[in-house]
Amino acid sequence: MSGPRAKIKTGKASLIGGIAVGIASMIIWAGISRELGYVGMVPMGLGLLVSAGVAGWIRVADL
Amino acid sequence: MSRRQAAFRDDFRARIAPAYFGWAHVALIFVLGASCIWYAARQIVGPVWYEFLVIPFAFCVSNVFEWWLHKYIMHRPVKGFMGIYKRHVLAHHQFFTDVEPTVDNTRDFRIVFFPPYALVAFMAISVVPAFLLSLVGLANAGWLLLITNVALYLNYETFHYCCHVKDDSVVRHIPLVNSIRRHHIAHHNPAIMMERNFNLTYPIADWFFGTSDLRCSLLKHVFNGYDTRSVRTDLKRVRHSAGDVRVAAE
Repeated sequence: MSGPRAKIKTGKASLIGGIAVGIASMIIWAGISRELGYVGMVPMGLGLLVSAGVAGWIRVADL
Repeated sequence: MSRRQAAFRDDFRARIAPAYFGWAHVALIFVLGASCIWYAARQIVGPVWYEFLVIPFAFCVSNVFEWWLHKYIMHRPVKGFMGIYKRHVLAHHQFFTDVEPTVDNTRDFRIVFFPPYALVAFMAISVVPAFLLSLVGLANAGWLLLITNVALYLNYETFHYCCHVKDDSVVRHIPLVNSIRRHHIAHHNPAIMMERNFNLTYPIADWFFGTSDLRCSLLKHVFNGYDTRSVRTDLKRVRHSAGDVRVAAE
């Protein structure tokens, strides 16, 4: 193909969607950590990393 | 496949971001959904029998909601929901037709599965009535409602994938799945897509509201499989244009 690469949609949807899924992931992670008895900064920090990774991937994958 | 469909597929695929991975998309949806179900199940303590009635109730409401959303939001240009309409009618229905309704590779999952934020939106919608149930002393029913709705969402995604999977050597023999595959592929016929076959899990609301392409009982609808003997004879027929010339005929 010639010319600049076109996008399926504007990045706004994947930006907002990424943030929403990131927040949901963090909430579910926190709930599951608590259920399994893993409380404290380490599991929360890990959850934050995972959630941020998920949100970031949704953004770059334009999903 | 028509020349128009082949051209659309080429264009759509070229627009998918390089960082997109089909199985990661699927895994994210199912891990999020399964985690939510697991957490909710752990919160249920000593449920009484009538709290389980929320499950058949949620099933029926979800079936009608799935039908309504598909018919009136995904197939209609409604202000505020134009993104859904464009993604569905102007992309999903161009990519998949009743002539060629299947995926070729995992990057095509981009046009089969909903974006993960759709699951989060359905979870958020479900939390509201679940919270209201907990306020009136039916906390277990609230958790059961959340579990049922998320499970039905995963059911929807699984069945929809089975409708568009290339090799049907397995799914054609699975009861319920084979019925919805025929039902949904018929829906991808451009001539009837605006008025027939809007269910994606179990064609109950289509039977109830008379929007099915079949003329038969509810039981026959649900367990019809690939059988085409009950297909209505008064369905609209598609009119082909120059762009619909089959690629294979060239």
